[in-house]
Amino acid sequence: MSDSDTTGNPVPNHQDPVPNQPRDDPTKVATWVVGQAGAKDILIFRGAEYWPTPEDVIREVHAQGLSVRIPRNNIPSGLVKGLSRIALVHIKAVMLIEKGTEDDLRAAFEELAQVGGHDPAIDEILARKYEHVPSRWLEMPESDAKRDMFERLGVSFKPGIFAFCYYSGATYYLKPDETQAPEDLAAKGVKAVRGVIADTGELIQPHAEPATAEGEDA
Amino acid sequence: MADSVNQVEIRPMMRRGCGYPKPGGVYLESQGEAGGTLPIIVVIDPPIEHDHFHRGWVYIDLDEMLTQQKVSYVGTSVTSAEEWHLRQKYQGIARDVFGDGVRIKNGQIIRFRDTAARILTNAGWQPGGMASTMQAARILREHAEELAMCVEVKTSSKQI
Repeated sequence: MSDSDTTGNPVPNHQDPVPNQPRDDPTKVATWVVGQAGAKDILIFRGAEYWPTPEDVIREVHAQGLSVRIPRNNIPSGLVKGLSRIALVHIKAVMLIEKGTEDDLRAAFEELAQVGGHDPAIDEILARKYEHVPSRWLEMPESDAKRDMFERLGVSFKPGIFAFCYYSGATYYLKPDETQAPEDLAAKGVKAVRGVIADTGELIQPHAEPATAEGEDA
Repeated sequence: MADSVNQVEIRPMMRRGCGYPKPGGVYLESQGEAGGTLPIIVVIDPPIEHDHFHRGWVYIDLDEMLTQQKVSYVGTSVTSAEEWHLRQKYQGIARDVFGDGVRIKNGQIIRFRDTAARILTNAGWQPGGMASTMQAARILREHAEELAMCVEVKTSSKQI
């Protein structure tokens, strides 16, 4: 299998064994071809502190794409543009319902309206479209009734992979006094850009946001 | 947009959940491309349990995970996700009417649902209870020819 740099250019790696090329099964041929591109996949967490639900991540990616800060001294090799995938993990991606079904959960929330009158927030969430279905129940307003309902039906959440994105490149955001990416990053195919605040056109300053740990959430 | 002196791309940024990108930081990205050649995000259902926390990135074999965890749905749009969930609901009804091996055709789930609803409404059917469910299945079987255009049978031995 070959390797590649962060720009997606294949870099031969002669230490990897070369598999026998399948001849008959088109599916196997396709898999083999993709494998030859050396496209590796990676996994990252999206923190509930910044994205309370997986749907929050999905909405942001639809609007702005995915951007994951990584340590500059630990850039993954083998990522191929358009082939490698970035799997997204959230601490509340997997919903378990031990004593019922999701239909029971929906019915319970709909019954709330019959007892205490319609809550516009609940009505809106029930009607909203969700790509990550469990997020609907995470986004229900916190209340004693919700807690009772979750307890009665045995609802809990666990970490899991809920989506993936195709890797499109690695970017270095220039500091105000820089005009190009540091040599070590440029050599790895990392592209330099200058970030400006969309609303104002002002340069993004290093102190504009509270610093977050590299590789965690950024 | 590009910096006129150094030909550096100027990128207007909106605030994300974690704030603005930090100057001096390196980011892995999935930005999609003009022309829509790359899907921005692919949602998987059910999600794959992953209890081991990683502070940074780790390599994974995603194909292996998708296969072993029996992920049923991989899609890119709200519409396709909704269609998948509808299929889980109405596939059982299709089996009640046509038997095992039947599958609602792609793109026909909404039509199947609406046709079934029309048949039941015209028959004066009212929801409620197991007897009602069995009655609905009987009514739909009697009008199976109206639903037949929405389904296909996997095995060649069965005809619809």
